[in-house]
Amino acid sequence: MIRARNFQRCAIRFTSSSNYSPITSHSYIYQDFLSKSSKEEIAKHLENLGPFPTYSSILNPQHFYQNEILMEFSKKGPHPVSLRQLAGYGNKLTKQKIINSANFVRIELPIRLAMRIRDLQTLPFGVVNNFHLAQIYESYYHSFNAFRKIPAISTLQENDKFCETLSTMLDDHVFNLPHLMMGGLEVSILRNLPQQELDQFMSSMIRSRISRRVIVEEHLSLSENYKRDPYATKPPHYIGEIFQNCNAAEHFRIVADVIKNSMLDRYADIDKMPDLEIEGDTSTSFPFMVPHLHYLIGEILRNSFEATIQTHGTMTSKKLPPITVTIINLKREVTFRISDRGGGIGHDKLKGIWSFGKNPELARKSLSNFHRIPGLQLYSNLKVTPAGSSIVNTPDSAGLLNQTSLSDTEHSTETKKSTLENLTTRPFEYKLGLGLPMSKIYADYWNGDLTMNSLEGYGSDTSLTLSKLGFHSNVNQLDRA
Amino acid sequence: MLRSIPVPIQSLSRRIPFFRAKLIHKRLISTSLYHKSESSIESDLTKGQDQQSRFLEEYKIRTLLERPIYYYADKELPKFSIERLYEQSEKLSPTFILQNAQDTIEHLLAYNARRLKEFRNLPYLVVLNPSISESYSIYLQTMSSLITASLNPPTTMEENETFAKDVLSEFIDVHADTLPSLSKGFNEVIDLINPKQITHFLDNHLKERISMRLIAHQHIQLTKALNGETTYQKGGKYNGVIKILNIPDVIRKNAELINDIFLLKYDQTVPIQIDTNLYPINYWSRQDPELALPTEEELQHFPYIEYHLDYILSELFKNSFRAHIENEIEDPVQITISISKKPTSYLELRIRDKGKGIPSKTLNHIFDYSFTTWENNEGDSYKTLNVPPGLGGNIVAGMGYGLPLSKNYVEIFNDTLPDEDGVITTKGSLSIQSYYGWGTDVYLKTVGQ
Repeated sequence: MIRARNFQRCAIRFTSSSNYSPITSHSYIYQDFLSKSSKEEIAKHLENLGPFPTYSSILNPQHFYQNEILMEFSKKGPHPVSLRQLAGYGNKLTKQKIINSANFVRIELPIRLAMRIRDLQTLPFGVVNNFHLAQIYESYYHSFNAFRKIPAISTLQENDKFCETLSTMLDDHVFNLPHLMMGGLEVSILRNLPQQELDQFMSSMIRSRISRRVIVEEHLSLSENYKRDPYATKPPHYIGEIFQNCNAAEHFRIVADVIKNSMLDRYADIDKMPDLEIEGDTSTSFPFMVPHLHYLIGEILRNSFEATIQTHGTMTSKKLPPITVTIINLKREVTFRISDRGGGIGHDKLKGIWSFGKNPELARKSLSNFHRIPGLQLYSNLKVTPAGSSIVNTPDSAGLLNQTSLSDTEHSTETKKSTLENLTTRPFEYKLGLGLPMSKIYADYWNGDLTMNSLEGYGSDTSLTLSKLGFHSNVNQLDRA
Repeated sequence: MLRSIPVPIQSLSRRIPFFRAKLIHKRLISTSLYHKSESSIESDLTKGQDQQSRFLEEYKIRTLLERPIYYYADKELPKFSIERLYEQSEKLSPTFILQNAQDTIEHLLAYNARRLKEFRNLPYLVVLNPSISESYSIYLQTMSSLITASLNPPTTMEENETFAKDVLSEFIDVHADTLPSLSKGFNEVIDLINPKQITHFLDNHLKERISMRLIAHQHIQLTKALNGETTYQKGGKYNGVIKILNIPDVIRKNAELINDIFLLKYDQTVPIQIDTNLYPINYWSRQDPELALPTEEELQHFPYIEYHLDYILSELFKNSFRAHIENEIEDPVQITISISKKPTSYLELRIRDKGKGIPSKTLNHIFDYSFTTWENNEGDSYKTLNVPPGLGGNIVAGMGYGLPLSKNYVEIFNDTLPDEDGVITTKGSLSIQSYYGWGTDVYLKTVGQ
C-alpha cells in the first residue's frame, strides 16, 4: 500500500491552483514576426540558429571529428537479451553473476545510446536544432561519453561505484522524456518532418529508452538484493525485482482516485464524478512494472473521465455515467476494456489519435502546457571535468543517497525518479495531447496492444492487452535497442 | 485528511534535478509546514514565476527566429532575364534607384532564406561539419544584415551609396569564399549523405548564388552610374552590369591573368591566337546582300556581363593552357570569335587547344562536382585550377567546380518556361568536344537579347 499513499500525497499537493504561471496556453500562438520590433529581435539573435550554441561543451567544431568514435560503437549491434537472463538466470545470485551483469550493462549502454544518437544525426538539421531536441542530443552524447570510458568491473566494490553512477545517470536523464515529447511538439508546429517519420523517430527513441532503463534498473535491484541477502533463493518463474505482482482491480481503483483528485479544479463535486465499475475476472493478478501500468491506466482513464465530464458535466446535476472496466484473464495475456459514455470521437479524429503529429495550433497549446508544469526542469545540468570530458557526477551529500540503490529504505528502486509517475499525477489543466501515442508505445513494448473504438455521440471503448511477462520471459524482449 | 499548503517546486533552485526537488519538497511539507512564514512562501512563488517568465521570453525569441526563413523562402522569385536587366538600366533615375534598393533587399532576402532552408534540410551531423557550418553561419550573418536593412531602406542618394557600399558589397565579399569551404566539407561528409542529395543541394546552391550576386552587382553598378563613377546615359541600356565589351580585349586580359599564374607555377606561358569572322553571315547567300562590310567595332564588341565572361574564360584557359604545358605543346591556343547582330544578336566563341584531349570516360563526368570520384588516372589535364570570381591569384587545385560553375553562368538566362508558341529559348550554352590524343574544342554561346 506504500505506493498508493505516495500517489495520494502527490495528488493533494497539486490540487490548490496557486500555480499562476506567466506561460498561458496562448503563449506560443502565431505572433507577427514581420513587425519592426520582431524583426529587430530576429536580426539580433539569428546567429542562435547556428549549430554551436555557446552554452554547450559538446557541440563545437571538433565534435564532427570526435564523432568517429561513436560511429564505431553504432556499428556494433545491441545484444538481444531476455527478461529471464536479465533477472539472473538460475536460482541463486552469485558474485560472478552480479559482476557479469554489471559488465553487460557497461557494454550495452554506450552501444544503444550510440544507435539513437545516430538517429538524431540523420534527421534534418532544422529538426534537431530545436530547443528541446538539441538538449536531448547533448544529454545522450554526454552519457555516451561518460559511459564508454568506464573500465571493466571485476570486484563488488567496483560494482558499488558503478551502481552509484548508474543511479545518477537515471536521475539526470529523467528530464529527457518530457523534452523528447516537447521536441515532437515543436516538430509538429514547424511541420518540418512528415508525420510518419516523426512517429517512427519517437517510437524508436522511446522504445530504446524503456529498454535501457529496464536493463539499468534490473541490475541495480539485483545488486541491492545480493547485498542484502546473498544466499536467498528465488521463486520459480522469477523475472526480476522491478516487476511486481499487480492486482488489476486494485490498481485501477488507485489510479482512478488520483485522477479524480486531479480534476477537482474542473469539476468540483468529487462525489458526482463517474464511478469505476469493475467486472469480469476481478481477482486477476499478474507481474508487471508498476509505473508503466499506472501510466497506461492513467492515460486511458484520464481520457474517459475528461470526456464524461465535458459531455455531461454542465448538463445534469445527477451523478455522471460510470466508467466500466471489464477484465478478461487469459493464460498468456490479460485484456482490459474500458468503456465510457463520454460522447465518443468522430471517425476522422480516431484515425489520427495514435500519431505524435498534431496540427500546429494544437501543438502550440500543448507545448505551452508542458512548459507550465510546475517543477519541470527546462534546462539540462550536464557536468564536465575542467578538461571538458563528460562525467556523471555522483553526489556525496548524505541526504541524497536515499535516491540510490545503496540506501536501506524499502523498495528503494521504486522511489527512483520516474517521469512517468510525475506525468500520471499531473493536474488536469495540463493537457499534453500525447497520452495515447505514448501509451501505445508502452503497450507495444511489452508485446501488448492498445486499440480504441467509438460510438460517435455515445462514448468510447478502449482495449488494452498486456502480456503476462512470466510466460514470455525467455523471449528476447530487450532487443529493441 | 491533512490538506497541505502547496510549495511550488520551481521555487527551489533549478539546478537541482526534478525529483530530488520533489523529495526535498515532500520533506518540507511534512516537517516545516507550520514554520514557513507567509511571506517566504510568496517569495518562493515569485521566484518560480520569474524563472518561468525568463524562459518564456527566451523561448519565444527562439521560435520567432525560424518564421522569417520559412516566410521568405516561400516567396516567388523574380524571373531572371537579360530584358529585365536592360529595363532597369533604361529606367535608371534617382527615384528609380531607391525603389530598386527596396526590391533588391526583398529579392536577396528571398534567396538567402532559401539557402538557409536548404542547409537546414541537410542531416544534422552534416551541418555539424565545421566547413559546412561555416558556410551556413555566413548565410545567417547576411540574413541578419538584410533584415536590418529592410527596416531602414535608403531614402536618399547618400543613403543608397552607403547601402551599396556597406550592405551589398559586404554581402558579395563575405560570400566569395564559401565554395572552397563547402567543397572541403562535402568531401568529408560523403559517407553520411546520399550523393543525389549533395548534387541537388549544390545545383541549387550554385545557381542561386550566381543570381544573388548578380542582383547585388546590378544595384551597385546602377548606383555607380548615377553618382558618376561610371558613365551614365539616361535611358540607355548599359548603365547596369551589362556593358559593351571589347571581346578580344577581354580574351587577352584573361589569358594574361592565367599566364601570370602559370609563370609562377610552371615557369612557362602559353600563347594565344584570336581570329574572327570577316564578313557578315549572309554574305554568301543568294540574296542580294547589303555589301556593307561590318565595322571592326561590330565584329569585336558585344554587350555582356564582364565578370561572368572573365570567370568562364579564365576557367577554360586554365584547362587548355595546363594541357599544353603538361604535354609540352608550343603551338598557341586558338580562340575564334563570331558575333552577329542581325537577325538575332549572339556571341559564339570556340577555344581550340592541342592538349591531347580528354578520355571519354572522364568526359562523361566533366560537369559533375568534385566529390564524385574519378576512376581513371590518365592525366589530370581535365581538372581545373578553380578560382571563384573575385579571388584573383588564389589557386585551389582540383576542386572541380570550374566547369559546372561556368556552365551555370552561361546558362543562367536560359528560359525554363516555354513562350506562347511552346518554344523554350536557349540563351546560353557551354559544350565540349574532345579528340582524345589530339586536343579539345570548347564551344561557348551566349545570346544578347
